[in-house]
Amino acid sequence: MNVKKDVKRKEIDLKEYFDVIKNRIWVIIIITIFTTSAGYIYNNFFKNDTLLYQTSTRIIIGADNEYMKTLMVMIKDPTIMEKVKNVLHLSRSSEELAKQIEVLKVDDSTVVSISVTDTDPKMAVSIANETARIFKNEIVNILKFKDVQLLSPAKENLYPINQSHNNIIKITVALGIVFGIGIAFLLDSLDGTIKRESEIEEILEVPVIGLVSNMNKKKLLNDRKKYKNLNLKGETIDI
Amino acid sequence: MKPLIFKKRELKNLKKRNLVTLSHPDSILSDQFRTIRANIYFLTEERKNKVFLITSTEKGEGKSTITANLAVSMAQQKEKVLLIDANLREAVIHTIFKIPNSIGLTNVLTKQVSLEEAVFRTDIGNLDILTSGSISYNPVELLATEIVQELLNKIVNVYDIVLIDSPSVLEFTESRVIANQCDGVVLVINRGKTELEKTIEAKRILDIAHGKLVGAIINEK
Repeated sequence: MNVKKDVKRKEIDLKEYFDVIKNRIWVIIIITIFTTSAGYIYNNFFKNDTLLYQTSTRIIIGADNEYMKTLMVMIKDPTIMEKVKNVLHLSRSSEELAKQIEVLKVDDSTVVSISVTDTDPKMAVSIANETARIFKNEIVNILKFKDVQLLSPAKENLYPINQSHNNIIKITVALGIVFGIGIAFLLDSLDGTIKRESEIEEILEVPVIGLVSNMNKKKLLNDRKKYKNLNLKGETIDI
Repeated sequence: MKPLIFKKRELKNLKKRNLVTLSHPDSILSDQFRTIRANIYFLTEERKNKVFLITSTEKGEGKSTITANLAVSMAQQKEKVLLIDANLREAVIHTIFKIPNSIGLTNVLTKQVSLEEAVFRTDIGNLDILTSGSISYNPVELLATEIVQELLNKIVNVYDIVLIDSPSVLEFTESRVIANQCDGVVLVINRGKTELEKTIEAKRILDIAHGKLVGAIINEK
């Protein structure tokens, strides 16, 4: 008996979940609208995170693979950073400056690109170019390595790399839907009213003998065309 | 004098409480009542059961409207039906049928008038209505067991079926007294409004009163 009941429960589970969502679709929609507009307002009026600009310069280092690695590390070395800082009159520390710089080998060539990310596009250009220039000069003194060529100087890039305007709205829409469904299920679990006939029959141990629809619905008052020929009309005759 | 807000609500209630079975006999709703009617006939073993109490767990779940419509539906079947409004506190049956309520059940129970005098004969088939009657200040004592029993015994011989509209089970004690005297109790459940706990409670109360629960009607809102 118990097993039978459990099987029945499982079968209708999915439909029940669907009904919960369907019955409280307005809760979900309203919450989604709310979070989306909150996200929109935040995005347009409160979000003032700084835009970041990136630019890169390329140099050619004529060295073999092993030595190349050392040289690439040398680009971000504090001694070089310190010099760049002094030339450009920067107030940040050389560690911070090093973090803004990314050194990458282009494919498997001897070309190395120095990418700089900064809040000011012009400053990014200056840092990139200065780093390349100072590296070229200093590396001669430090490692007696002369085969460094400046390939292409950095150019000003006016498009910020962290333009994530729409992302926040997308996230809030998704969050709203998830949160709304959560609230819908919470409300459903708090709602102790009777929903199904099986519940009534279980509690009262008597059959449900009928169902009366909402009397205020107009369409239910209409005559049923299907059975018109059968003439089910009630009549009153006094005997 | 009642405040205006109450007046408005009353009007709204009246508008809702319509006799669909009478005004729209071919509608889906009337069909639903026919189903209930048929099921009640099946529930009554060889037509021995005649007196049915229709009640709900709490007020405002639509029992009076359902009772009235069911009575009309049964009367259309050429049955001799008596509809008793035992809701002495908030009688509405007379407003649904738009009939006077100067004399009724309370007057019969206090033996001021005879049953025949108090019953209102409608022109809807053989439907007779016993309204609640003039205001009673102590419904519980008025509906004391012996008097009700006496009255019902008298009624059973005259009518094919008797429907009693009563106050809600959980609110007032009268329903238990009547439930005890009836052949069957039908509970109206309002989907999405009637609480599970309250239904269990109502079932328990009816069990204590030895009321014979025969079925439930779901009212959709």
